[in-house]
Amino acid sequence: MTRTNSQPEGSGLRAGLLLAAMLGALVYLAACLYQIQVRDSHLYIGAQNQTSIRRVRLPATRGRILDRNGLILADNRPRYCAAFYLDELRAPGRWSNTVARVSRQMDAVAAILDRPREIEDAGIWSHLYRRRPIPLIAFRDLDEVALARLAEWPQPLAGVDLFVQQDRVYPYGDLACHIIGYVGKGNPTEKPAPRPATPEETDNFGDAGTDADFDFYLPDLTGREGIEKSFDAELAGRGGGALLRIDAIGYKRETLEARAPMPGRDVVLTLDVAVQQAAERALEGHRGAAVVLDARNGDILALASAPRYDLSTFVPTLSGEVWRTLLNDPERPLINRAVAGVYPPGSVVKPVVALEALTGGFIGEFETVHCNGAYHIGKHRIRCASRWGHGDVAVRRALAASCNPYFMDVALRMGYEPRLYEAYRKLGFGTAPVIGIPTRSGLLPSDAWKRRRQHDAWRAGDTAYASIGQGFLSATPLQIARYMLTIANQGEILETRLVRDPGTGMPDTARRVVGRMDWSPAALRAVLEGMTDVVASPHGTGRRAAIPGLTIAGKTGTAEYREKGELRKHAWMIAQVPAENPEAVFAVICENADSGGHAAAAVLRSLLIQMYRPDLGHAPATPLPPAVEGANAPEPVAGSANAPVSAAEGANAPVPAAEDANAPEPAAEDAEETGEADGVTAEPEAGAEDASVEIAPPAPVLELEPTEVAP
Amino acid sequence: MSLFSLPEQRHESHFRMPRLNWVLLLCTAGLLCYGVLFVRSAVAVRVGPVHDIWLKMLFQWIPLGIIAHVICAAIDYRKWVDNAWLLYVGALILLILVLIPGIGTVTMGARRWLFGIFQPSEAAKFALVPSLTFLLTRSAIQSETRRFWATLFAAGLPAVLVLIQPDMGSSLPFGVAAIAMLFVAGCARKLLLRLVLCGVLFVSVFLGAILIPESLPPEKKAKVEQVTDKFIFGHWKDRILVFAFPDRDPLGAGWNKRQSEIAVGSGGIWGKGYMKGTQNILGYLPASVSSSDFIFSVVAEETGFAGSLLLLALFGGLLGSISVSGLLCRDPAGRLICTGVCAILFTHIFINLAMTIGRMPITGIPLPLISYGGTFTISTLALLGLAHNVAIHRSAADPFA
Repeated sequence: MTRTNSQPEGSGLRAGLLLAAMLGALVYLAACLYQIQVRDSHLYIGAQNQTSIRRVRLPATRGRILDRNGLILADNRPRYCAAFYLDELRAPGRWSNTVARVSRQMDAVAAILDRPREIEDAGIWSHLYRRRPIPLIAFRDLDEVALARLAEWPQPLAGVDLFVQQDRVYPYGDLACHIIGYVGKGNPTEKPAPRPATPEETDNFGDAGTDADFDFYLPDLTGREGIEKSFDAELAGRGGGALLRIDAIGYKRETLEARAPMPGRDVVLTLDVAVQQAAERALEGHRGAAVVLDARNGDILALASAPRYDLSTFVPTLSGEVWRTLLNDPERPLINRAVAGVYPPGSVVKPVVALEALTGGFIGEFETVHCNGAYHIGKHRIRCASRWGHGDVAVRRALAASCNPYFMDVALRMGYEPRLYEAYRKLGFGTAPVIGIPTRSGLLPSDAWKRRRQHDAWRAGDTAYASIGQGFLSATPLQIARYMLTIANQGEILETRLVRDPGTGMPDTARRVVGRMDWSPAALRAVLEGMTDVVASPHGTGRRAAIPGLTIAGKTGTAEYREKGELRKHAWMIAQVPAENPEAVFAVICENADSGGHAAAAVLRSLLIQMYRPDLGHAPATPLPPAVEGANAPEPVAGSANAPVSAAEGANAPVPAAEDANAPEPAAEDAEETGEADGVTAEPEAGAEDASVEIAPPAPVLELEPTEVAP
Repeated sequence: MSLFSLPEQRHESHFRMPRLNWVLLLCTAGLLCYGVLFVRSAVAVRVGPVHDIWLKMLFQWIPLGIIAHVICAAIDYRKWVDNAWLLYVGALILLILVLIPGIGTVTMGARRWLFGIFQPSEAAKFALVPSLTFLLTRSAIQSETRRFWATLFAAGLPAVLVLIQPDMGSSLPFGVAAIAMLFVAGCARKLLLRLVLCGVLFVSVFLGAILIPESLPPEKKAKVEQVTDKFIFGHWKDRILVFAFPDRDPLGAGWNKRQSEIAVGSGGIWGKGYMKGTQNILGYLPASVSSSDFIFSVVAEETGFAGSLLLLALFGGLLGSISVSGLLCRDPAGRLICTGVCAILFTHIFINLAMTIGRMPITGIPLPLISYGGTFTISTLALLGLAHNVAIHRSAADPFA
């Protein structure tokens, strides 16, 4: 350090060192930048996306539900809503400024639409906190007038736009409501486990096949009952998605990418709207069910349950009040009696006893049993329908007159297990049929079952009751119809279908034999003769169902049960039409009616007239409502009489089975619980004309809810 | 021959272009372009008065800075050094004035502004370089030790005045410049070593007082903090704690650091494009800092590694050109001026970039020529003018020039 003009010693070196150190530090910074911007860049990009990108699920258009002829049972209809885009309405400063601005705008729109606000300030706050980047739907279900007012409003409405939601619409009202089911507002947490995405479905949305990955959901519909629920996966389609970039405050800035939703597939049912309408009309005024199957391939043509409920009350959302009314209605309209109503079958099972006994040689076709009006087993005395007895009856007469002693006597000769039990089991008693919607199994009792549940051995009285469809035996109308279908097919057990392949909607009319009863042709002939007499003969119990020009082979049944200590009767009738080469089989039940020969036969007659002889007296099928236009709906078939015929066409088309995946396992326990309601008790009482059982053990009552009954 | 010779002389003789430092000029121009472009980008999405700062920068501060640059470069640096005490006393008066409530304006908890726009700490920074040069080359102090202490005192006084504003970031360059100038002036290694040791000791105690209580049980921590909080300002503590524990308080004190790192990192190699930096546009990088202390986040996000590297190269060229003109200068005063300017610029550049990419605790210190700032832009260009001055006027003292 000198004050001369020359540099101090080493100054140049030191200055050079200083420069080198500074440049070295800059190189160090460059190295750091390389690390951050090149090597680890992806980490920071990921972190940024995580904080600034949100996934929104876009609902897919729900598939339709069609009948066999392409008539639409469940469709979609656009519903226009006024949506508020909060990112365009944001106000600087406190959140309350934004809320106030949105609120003012909402008041303005309410004034334009001339209707009250649907969302109060609390709703705006909640939307701001939880769903800030997506629009707030403020006015739902705008009609044309409201739409026009909104569209023609002279000043631009900041941040307000139309938003289209899809609603379910049921063109036929309450037709087949129990089968179609209903939808509710989708709740993502309740979604069934999503299927894994296929490789081509995987895109920028991450594991996008899965619904769980979205941050926000727009309103969606989920099936809650019936086909809507069982086939929700097919109907719902795959939700699309949008990637939103949000700013630091959480408003939407831009849509980065959007993937269109994949619309749901249509589900085509085997139902025939015309037949279903006929069945529902025939049941009017009753509480009960009617099942119509195509005798040639097992298609379910109608599955009616009365009373019904109106599907349109479930759209867009069901009010709690209506729901409670439906739940508490003593008529229990929500129950699908055709597949979930479990009843004692009564005399309609007698043909099984006859077929087994004749095939097994336990009784000859013309061998008679004497009926004096009652049958004694030990100290029990079970009376026949005829107070003074039928005299000596062979099988044909016994079926026609529904003679209890004949069948009890034959059953006791044959024994319940294994022969009769096996026949019932193979015919589907005690097993819930798999048709795509939840069904119930009823109860098929056995010695082992009785020992387990009742701690008692199987007794002769049990066999006698089982032969006339009383006692512990119980079944649903669909099970009874399937058993009738087996008789109509000469012992071949056919698969019954409600749903065609939901993927293609191709007609699946193949006749699939899933089993065979080894009934001899002679036995079948004899039993069918007896069943024809049920309707045709003047002493037949089902003669009230007779229709001129139509041959019917049927069987009535009157099943007794106790409700609140009172003896009541369910009226049954099963039938195949025509008696020779049947086209359709029927099972009808009327709850709490007088007898099968009266109530059920009348319902069946009304149904048959509408289907085969609309010219006869009864009000013919009213014209169908106009089919809702749909792109892939085939030409609707409006006629009613030709429905069963049309099903036979293309009977060989091989189509994979589709309906077994979704049917829940029947709750066998439930069925057994109710079976032990009462033991076999004898109580002398005069029978009605067609009553199969005079002293019936109170049979399992209609199972509507799984109930625990203490023994 | 200088540009500012008398006109008659210039007329008589053939006009000679002054010996400009072209590298310095080009680098400065390039960096100013960066600054203008990216302050524009940083305020692009803002509305209201904030948007005006870009216009102010372009049409007010940079022209004023260029004028300051020309003035500083034109008047021979020896005159600046000889009259440095005037500058120094003036700066001290301003620094004291700003501390008086009612005169100084308070922003973000610190009393930094005079008349709302003027930062005396910047004036002090400018005054420091000729002042220390005067002390180290012209003063009558003969003892090397005394000159050492005098230099430290001369640098320390304004530094402490700035520190108690409080503005730790702006006080750092004073210390760095003093040490660098002492070093180049040939100060004894022994003294420098002691100084550095003292510095290390002080920083260790400072950091220890902040970090050690963190590892103590809560009741002891509270006791210790009662004492330490008297000396350490809250936001220093937060910033150092956030640096030491990156996951601490990510939405509060750690927010800027995290978002700035994300901005830089997500830029990748080529960046997201001009005016397309999402961190800035979406407001993750707060508007209050994106145009000033965190401007480099915007640059790095929008131009990527390539743009960042070019920026570093321009800074390197600037520092290099100043240092080289100092090295070429035979006059110790010229070399010391270049050293001081280099040290002040480098402190700003390094600390700012290092904090932006998360390699240093957050320190409120802007990036020279890039960040928005009024007094800061002028003082930076004025300091560069002094350095330019050495390149232009070194011939007068240099027999070989």
